[in-house]
Formats: sequence, structure tokens, C-alpha cells
Amino acid sequence: MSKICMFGISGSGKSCYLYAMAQVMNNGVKYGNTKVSIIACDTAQQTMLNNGYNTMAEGKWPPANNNTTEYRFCVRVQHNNRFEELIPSLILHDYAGGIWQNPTAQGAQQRADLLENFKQSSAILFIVDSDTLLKAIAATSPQDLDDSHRNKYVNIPLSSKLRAQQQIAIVENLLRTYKMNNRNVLPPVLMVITKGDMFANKDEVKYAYAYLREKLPSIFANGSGIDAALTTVALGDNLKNDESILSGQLDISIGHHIHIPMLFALYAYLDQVYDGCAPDEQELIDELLPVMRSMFKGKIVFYTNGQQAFAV
Amino acid sequence: MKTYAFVRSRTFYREFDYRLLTPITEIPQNIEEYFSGCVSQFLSDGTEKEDEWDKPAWLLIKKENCLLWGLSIYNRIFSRECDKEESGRTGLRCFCGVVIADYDKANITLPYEISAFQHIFDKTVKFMWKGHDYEIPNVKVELGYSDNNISSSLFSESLNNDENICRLFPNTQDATVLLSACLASKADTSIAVNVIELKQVLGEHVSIRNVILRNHNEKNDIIVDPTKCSRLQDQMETVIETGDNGPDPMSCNKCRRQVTWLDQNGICEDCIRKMKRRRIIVCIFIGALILMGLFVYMREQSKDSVTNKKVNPKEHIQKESPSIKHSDMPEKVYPLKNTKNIENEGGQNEDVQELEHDEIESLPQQNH
Repeated sequence: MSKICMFGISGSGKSCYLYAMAQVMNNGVKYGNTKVSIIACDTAQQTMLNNGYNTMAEGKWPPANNNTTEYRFCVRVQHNNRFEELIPSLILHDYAGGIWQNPTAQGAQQRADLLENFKQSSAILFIVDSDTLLKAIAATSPQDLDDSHRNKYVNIPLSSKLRAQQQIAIVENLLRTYKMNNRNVLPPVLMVITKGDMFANKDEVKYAYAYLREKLPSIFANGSGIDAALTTVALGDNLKNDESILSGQLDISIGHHIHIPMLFALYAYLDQVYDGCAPDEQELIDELLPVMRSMFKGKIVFYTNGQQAFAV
Repeated sequence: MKTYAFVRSRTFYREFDYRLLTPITEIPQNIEEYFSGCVSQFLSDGTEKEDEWDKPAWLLIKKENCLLWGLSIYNRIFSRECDKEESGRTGLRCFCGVVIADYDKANITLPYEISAFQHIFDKTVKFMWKGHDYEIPNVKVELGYSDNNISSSLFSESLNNDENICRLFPNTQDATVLLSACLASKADTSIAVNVIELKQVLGEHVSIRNVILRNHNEKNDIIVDPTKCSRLQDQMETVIETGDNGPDPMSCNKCRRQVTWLDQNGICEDCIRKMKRRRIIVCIFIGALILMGLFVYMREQSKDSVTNKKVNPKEHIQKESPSIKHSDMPEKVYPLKNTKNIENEGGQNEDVQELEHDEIESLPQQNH
């Protein structure tokens, strides 16, 4: 199914990520003789994505989103001088952040719609920002935080830390509910930690990953039966938000892993459709998948059925 | 006549996103949902230029015995305190308005100034700002006082009442005249004034019939649904075909043809039909094979029972079938389906490399 479901906590940076991703993937990501690029199918959407990033480039964070948005992307591949529109129409649903707080019938409908889209998606991207994770870790394991962060996060109000934990617990609830109603089947899930430049060092990243694995047993526990992965992205260095003024250095190079979530979704999609493809298409996929795994190297951690599948 | 607050915005805490803060259960649900959809669309993310949302965009909708009237604007125009949410994002917006049920159609006056809605904002957004209430239903309010008002006047021929047309007016159009004409109209109708972008008034389920766009300088009609439009030939002066009027041509993921309809998997109708046909043929073929196999098996069984022959184990020769050497197989490892954890003698997973501390390169490169 050429669909991706992207959801996450309000304020986790979904929109900013999409704007940056559109720039990175429009330019394309190259490895050896292979280049993968993505453009919006609709010119108006591409313009909107460009405008969003241009706003950031001009030093202003975009405002909060009002609605859930559907994007349509065309995924192209250039491999050994062969150009192919791998997926002419890849749908990405960007869900507004607060849908699981909505206690009304409309909220229930939105959540049902989200779960229905899980079923039709080849991959699920769950976005959580490093600030939320650091607060959640501070609530129970402040010793895991780097010294530079410990004072800051330990001293924030308890309510703030608890709410951070609750946000992640709600996601576990959602995933568990989905699995129970769908015979324990879930498309591959990628946990995308945004604002990665806020982590002090690799240790904090490791603890953040461990925290997510512990709090999301539906996808990471032994016997979960789910393919899941973890990655961290950043839009630049030392980025800060001060009354919506963007300070710091934006960067759309692949060093900040902005391309990884879309490549993951593409990888999951190709894996899913492989058996139904014609022999020549299978041959292309056979060549592409190892290249993509090389592109993942050092940037993503895969788990299958609760076990680390392979390290790249 | 009952007047309720109808406000869409968001509150301080980050997990509480944009929503209808003041739902109304005392009016018909279909009307409330319709108004809610319109208002949600009206607050659509448009251009993010600094001054776009500083000036109000007004919305008036009449539906059956209910009327919606209000404005969308930056929160900070009403209150600086409600400009920034917990994550630090500023530029929060609101639709601040009223729904009037069972209003006097012949004799109604509506305030046409931002200040007349301040008390409604204070009673809703500001009141809920740092609370944990998701919504407050049925908030009754009074219409605010204003020096500038609109009231029912003579019907204007310019006003469009056809639900299948969205009429765009130039920004020089006197909004008061059209608003008053809208109020006077006996039929359901709608008008939006000082709108930034078309997508605020044209959406999947929403179409405002009369629109004064900010940066627009001619009069146009947009067909909203050409199959339903009854005044297509008579009324149209210019037709703008926008992407909202019909589906964009899309490429089928299978045959790559340009089509106007794709299912949720991105496959066109023709391919779906071909796939179904193929599936039926395959099923018939497999069914036939199974039947043949059963037939042969039953025949063999009946032969054996007739001859009462025992198989001599010494005569049972197991032939070795030619096998493909593992080394001849191309290596295909798909971690999401076929990853095997092969244990070597040491009991370690051959396929899994334990990540050492130094090997975790998951932190995006930092240039501290």
C-alpha cells in the first residue's frame, strides 16, 4: 500500500520536519550509482512545503497546525543510469498532534480514522521530540541525563514531566488497541526522535532509545511480532525557539538524518510489494534494498520481534 | 433568540491542539457540525506573512434557523497572553464568533468590529488558557456593542445563492453591502470577507458562496460541483478551474497511466479489474489441479486395495533430487521478512551484531 501514516505529539516538529524533508528529498539522496528523490505530486503542495522551509530559513518557526493534512509524493529512483518513478503516488497522512486528547465523538472518529490508516499503510512514523523524552526520563531516571541537562530537566515542574510520560503512554495504548483488534499485525513502525541536536551526547540518545523500548512493549518487546526501528533527526545545530524566532544553524545535509524516515518508509514499501512484482521489478528491488541498507548505516536501529534485527 | 459563543482555537498546553472550544449541543447536530467544518477550514494554515492574520477575516453563514457570525484573527489581537503556547510557538489564531439560533430574520443587527468580540474571547480562550478543560459546551453570550453594524437590507443581485458556485468579488467591493444583503436573504447563504486564501473557503466539504478575497481584483465564479450546478450557462462570467474542482490527474502505481481515480493502494480501476480477473483464473486453475490430484490419488488408492500389494522397503529407492547449492543462490536478505537468526556453535546470533557503545552513530552529527 503506497501510504505512510505520520503522527506524533503536538509540538514535536512534524511540520518542520516535513518542510525540511521536502528540501532534502527534492535534491535527492545519493549512494554510489543510486539516487532516491521525492517530489510532491501537486505543485501547490510543493510550493507550500517550500514556503514553510523558506519561512524557517528567514528565521521564523512556522505556527502550529490547525488540521490533519494529506500529502501526495512521487518517489523516483535513478539506479545505474536507469530512471524510474518507483511510486508515482505515495500518500502521507500528517495527523494533527492533539487527536488523542479529544474526548468528543469527533476525536473518537479521528482516532478511528488514524487506526484505519494504519491498516492501509506500508509504514508508520511516530514523531516524538527529544525535549519530551528528556522530561520523561527526568521523571524516573534523572541519573541517565547528562550533567549539562540534569539541572534543567530535574527542576522543571513535576506536572510537565508527568505529561511527557503520559504522551508516550497514550501511544502505547493506541498501538496496543490496534494490535488487539487486528490480530497482532502492525506495519513496520519507525520512532523518529526530532530535535536531535538537543541531546548532549550519544549516551543520552542511548537512554532515550532504551526508554522508548521499555515504554512501547507493543512494538519492542520480545514476541511483539512487529518490525520496528529507531532514529534521530535534527534540522540543524543549536536550534532554538524564542518567541517563534528561529536561532541556530539550519542544515539540510544528510548528516542530520532528515532523509532516513522516508527511506525507511520506502524500504518497508518495497519489501511489502516485492512478492507481487514482475521479475524485472523484483530485480530492481533486489539491487535497491542493499543500497538502501548502506544508506541507513549508522543512522537507524532495527528490531524484529523484539530482537535487534541487524545493526546498520 | 439564543446566542452562543462559537470559538475555535487552541490553549496553552501542547497536548491540547486546535479544536472547537465551545461546542453547542442545543442546536441541531448537523448544523453544529457544518459550522464547525466551515470554521476549521476558515482557520486553515495559509501564508505565514507577518501581517496576514493581524487583520480580521469575517464569516457569515445562514443555515436553516441558525446563523454563524464571527472573525478569524491572531489571538494576540485580543490578548498577548494567549499568543504563545507551551512549546514556544507563537502566532496562534482563533475563530471568535457566535451562533444565533431562532433569530429574527427580518430584524437582526450584527456587530462588525473586533472589539465587539473581545468579551467572547475573554470568556472562552482566555478563561480556558491554562486549564485542562478540553471544551465548554453551550456558552451563552450577548452580542457585543459596536459603532459599526450590519443589518438586513435589500437583496442584492450580486449575491450568489447557488451552493454550486463560489463567487469571488474584487477587494474593492463594499463588504457591508454584501453582508447586509446576505442577512436579508431568505435562503441559506454564506459570505466571507477579507479572506487571505481560497483554501479557507473552499475545501472538501465546505464551500462559501460569496467571497471577497484580499488580493483579488475581478469578479469570478468558481464551479464547485459542475454536475450539480444549475446556473452554469446563465450566470457564469468567468470560470476559474482550480485544483479544488476535480481530482488532479494521478499516475497508477501499477500501469503508470495518468488516471483520475486511484484506490487507497494507488491502483487504477483497469488494473484492479485485471488483477481480479487474474485472481479468478488462478483460483480456477488451482482448483482444477487440486481436483485432478484428488482424482489421481483416489484412483491409486483403489488400485492398491484391489491388488493388495505391499511395498517392499528394499525396493523403495529414494532418489536424490538435484538440489541447488546454497552458494548458487543470490544472497537476498530482507530484514523485515526473511531475517534469520542463525546460531553458530558459540550460541551467538550470526546475523546480529551487538552494538558497542562506540558504534552507535545514531546521534546526528553535531558541530558544537
